[in-house]
Amino acid sequence: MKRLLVLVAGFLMLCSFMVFAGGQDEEKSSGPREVKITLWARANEVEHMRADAAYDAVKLLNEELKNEGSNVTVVVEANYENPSWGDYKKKFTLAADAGEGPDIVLSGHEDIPVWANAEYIVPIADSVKDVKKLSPEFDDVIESLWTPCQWHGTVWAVPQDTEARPLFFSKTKLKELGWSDAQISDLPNKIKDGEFTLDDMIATAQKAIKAGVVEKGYGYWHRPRKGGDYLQYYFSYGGYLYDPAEDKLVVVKDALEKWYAFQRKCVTTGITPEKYIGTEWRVWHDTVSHNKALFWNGGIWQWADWAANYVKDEGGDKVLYKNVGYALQPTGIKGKNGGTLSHPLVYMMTSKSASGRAKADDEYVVRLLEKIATKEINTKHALSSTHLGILKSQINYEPYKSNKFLSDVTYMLDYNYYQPNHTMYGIYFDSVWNGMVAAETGEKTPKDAADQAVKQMKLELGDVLIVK
Amino acid sequence: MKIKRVFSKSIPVTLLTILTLPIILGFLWILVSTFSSRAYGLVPVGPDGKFGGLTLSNWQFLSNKTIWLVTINTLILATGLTIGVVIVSAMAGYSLSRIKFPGRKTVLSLTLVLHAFPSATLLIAIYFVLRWISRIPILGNHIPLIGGFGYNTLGGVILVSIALQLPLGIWLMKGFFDNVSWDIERAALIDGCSRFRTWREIMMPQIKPGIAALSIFSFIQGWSSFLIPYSYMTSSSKATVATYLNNLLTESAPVNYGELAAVGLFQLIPVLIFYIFTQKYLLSIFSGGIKGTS
Amino acid sequence: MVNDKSNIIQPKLKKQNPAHSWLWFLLPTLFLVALFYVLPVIITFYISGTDMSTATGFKHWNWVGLKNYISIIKHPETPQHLWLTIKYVVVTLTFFNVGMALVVSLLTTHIPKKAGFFFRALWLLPRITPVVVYVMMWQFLAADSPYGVLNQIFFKPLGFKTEYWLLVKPFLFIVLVNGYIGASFGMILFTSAIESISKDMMNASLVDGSTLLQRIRYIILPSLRWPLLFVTTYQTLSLMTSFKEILVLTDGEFGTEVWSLWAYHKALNNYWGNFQWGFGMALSAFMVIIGLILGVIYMRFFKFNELVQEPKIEIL
Repeated sequence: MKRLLVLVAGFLMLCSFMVFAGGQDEEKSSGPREVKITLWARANEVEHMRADAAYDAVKLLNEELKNEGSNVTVVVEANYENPSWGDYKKKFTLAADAGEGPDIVLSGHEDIPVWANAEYIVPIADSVKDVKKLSPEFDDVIESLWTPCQWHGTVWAVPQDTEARPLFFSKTKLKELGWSDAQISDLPNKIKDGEFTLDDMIATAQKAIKAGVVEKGYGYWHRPRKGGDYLQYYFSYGGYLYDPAEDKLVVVKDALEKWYAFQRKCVTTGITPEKYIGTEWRVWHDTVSHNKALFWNGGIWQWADWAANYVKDEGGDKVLYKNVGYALQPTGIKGKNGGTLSHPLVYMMTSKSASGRAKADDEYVVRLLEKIATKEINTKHALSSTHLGILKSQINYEPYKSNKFLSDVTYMLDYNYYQPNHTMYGIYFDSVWNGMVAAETGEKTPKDAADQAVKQMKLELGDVLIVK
Repeated sequence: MKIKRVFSKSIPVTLLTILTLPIILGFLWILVSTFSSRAYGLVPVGPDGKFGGLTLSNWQFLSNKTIWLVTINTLILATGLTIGVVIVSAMAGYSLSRIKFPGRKTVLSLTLVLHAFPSATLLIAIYFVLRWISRIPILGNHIPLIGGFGYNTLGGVILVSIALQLPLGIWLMKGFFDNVSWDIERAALIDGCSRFRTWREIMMPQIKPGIAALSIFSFIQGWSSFLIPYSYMTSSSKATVATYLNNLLTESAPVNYGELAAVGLFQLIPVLIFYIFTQKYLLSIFSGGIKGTS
Repeated sequence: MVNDKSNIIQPKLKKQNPAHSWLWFLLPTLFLVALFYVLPVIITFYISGTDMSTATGFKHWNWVGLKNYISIIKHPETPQHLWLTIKYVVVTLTFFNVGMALVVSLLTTHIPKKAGFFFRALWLLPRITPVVVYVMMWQFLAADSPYGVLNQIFFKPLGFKTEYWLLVKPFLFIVLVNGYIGASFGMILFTSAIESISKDMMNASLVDGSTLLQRIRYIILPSLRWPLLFVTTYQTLSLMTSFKEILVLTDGEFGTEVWSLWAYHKALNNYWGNFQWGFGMALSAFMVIIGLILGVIYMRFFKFNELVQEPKIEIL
């Protein structure tokens, strides 16, 4: 027992040594009044700017305050961690309700109605018009990005980043299949204009398998795990999620059934492996980045991941540019434009009861958010994490413009759609997801799966649901 | 005769090896992947799919000071939890085993049933209790080192974790006290020891194996706990090793599985040491046999 | 050990050991139980009668009576979650938490000590490994060729079809993943119980010429009654309420959503973070009731009352 105690003590000392060996920076701040602003973000290492942007921004803000002759200095404490979204949101909810939340919280835009309703967050401005008047940075934000920041007409948040979820395709494999270079480079346009549909994609993939260009089951890999990406097929078949006039969620039964049928068809035609949903991410990334699949549906942020972690030793993004093409998500109905789902993350300002911050200090929080939204700071994040920028001026900003991938996919924002800001959306999503899995795995026919999903939604959502 | 002996010795070993195979293969895989950038099965491979790609880069996290900081936090949490669980359940176990009082059997059976309450789903309800404790002056949130016993304090987290470990603790302790000879205790009491002193000075040393067993289960629990510390403490400087590990996992961007496995191995070293040191005590659980259960 | 000589002459016990000393010993437990079990359970039942959710916050909820319980009954997924939970608990408990635990402890006590120690240490590994890493290990044991270990070692060389086995047999894998953790609990308790059977008795049985099976049946098993009761009851409840491994392994997909995971998903962790506390709490409350009933049945079945011996000091 004694030996064990000595060991524990020794280990503790080793730990403390390692901690203090790093040295500690002492933070000094002067000035008659100090306003401390805390920020929480969910991010991984690559996305650290979601939190660290605040440290860059506060320098600009303090300079400005000094020039104004203000006696206030703003101090920032920004943290990021990377648990599941569910755990992150739960932690914020508990902290906010106890009055120990941060001043700024980063999350998906779908949390706006939920947290606004629970009085954890406060509006930034009364309308889009007002928010644009607040500062030149806010005026610079891409128009359509304000849509997901609103709830009942009021602006509750500032966008942080956004993305697109394109259809990736292997250019080299298409060539092996006999496509000409012109045909390949024209594919994104054809998808955009609705000439190349999901059915065409299935047919092409089948052909490639038959010709031996790719192995069976490697014709099309959609997202392997739960996520919003799947809604793109629902949209492709004419579905939509929300009726803003009535503030109700909408399920279009016909589109739901067609979407489910599409998932099943991927499996029955052999372009997707039979047991597929639930495939490990590592397996998925390794497969698609190594040019083994013909088509796959991913997110633009994965590009950075592939380049840095999967094909690094083969030349990084050079190999990707050689092999991989990208386009919008094809439509299911010929002639309809392709599209993509965007899911912007947004900064929200918490209420007094959630954070304990004096109402008078709200001004500094908003001003910090303005500085975070400058093109220099936002571009840093966009480049390091391959997310899309949020500002109009970024498109012509040299560091952003010179990133080929980002400038290639920026047009997709013109064809994007969002998930609705509605307090019950999460429940809606779980139901359609469960139905989809049942349909793709063949556990239920697409029709039965759609029926059960609708039945479950009616039960759990009641009168906030419209069935079309 | 000799052949038969060898036979009878090797059958259990073979059988055990087969049953243990998934564990053996699995941990081999973990070991291989911590030293390689990519692995096909148990073979580390380079980008061309052939043998190669060995690397130490997955262990680089050891030079990061965060890992040591969270290790200290976790150690405090796990040690506090272990000490708390042992003391509280040894007291309860003693009285349930050695003292006659009305409702004794009821208390005992209720203790076991407590385990039916799913800790994770009580999360919200316990949160309300912690917030209520927070309102108590000083005790709630103004104690140095552990912060207090309310919401957003280390003390609160330890207290909740102790409570959740009690059903196991009380039953184990009771089982051990059952087997301590009555003569020792009676002698002490006749000598004039108070019940409390008898418990502390006479009885506790008798049940070292039990304390060891309970310690290891509690330590494991505290060492790997994620949900409770993560949900009830807002500051990430109070993060635990499990939180650190979870930070490496993500749905939407780079996951370095090799590093994940390396941190995982790092996390189990202390527990493994703990196990090796307590093994000899563990084996003498129920040391006095199950006599007396008639 | 006792040096306090001044008290040695005092003859009577009862005076300095008042009858309520048991209360002092139980006080910390009662306190913690009241705070972190009784109160939370009352709160849980209370919330289960409201429509509290992230959308209402903790302030603006409404009282809805039994609506959540009616929703459980009406819910199209209820039967499948319930049946799965029963199947999962029974299978895992029988084959691993009790069955495998017994087999492993019997085997490791019949081989040289060092080897026994080694194998038990191996069996403890799953329990002490962080869940995310442990589950990842299983995922890559099962992964499709060329990543998976099982495919690489067994199925491919033997010429079978390679697949991602987790997706082919999801139920088998949730049992395996939990079973390999669960077995070590019983293993430790059974092993020490077996070790504590007196050597004389064991040897006598050998001299008698009884076979190994007879020895197990007549010497070992009877002395395992108390640990068996404890392990069976405790682990039944553990299996019913634990879901962490399944959460990480499949997130409840492919028909692996057990009841407790369902409650967790509804109340605390779903994809877009809309928590339905009211409905989720109703699901947990339902499970608490089943747990209580099961606990009582087990105690009856194992003749709990006979297993609890009476304290002897006061009697004498």
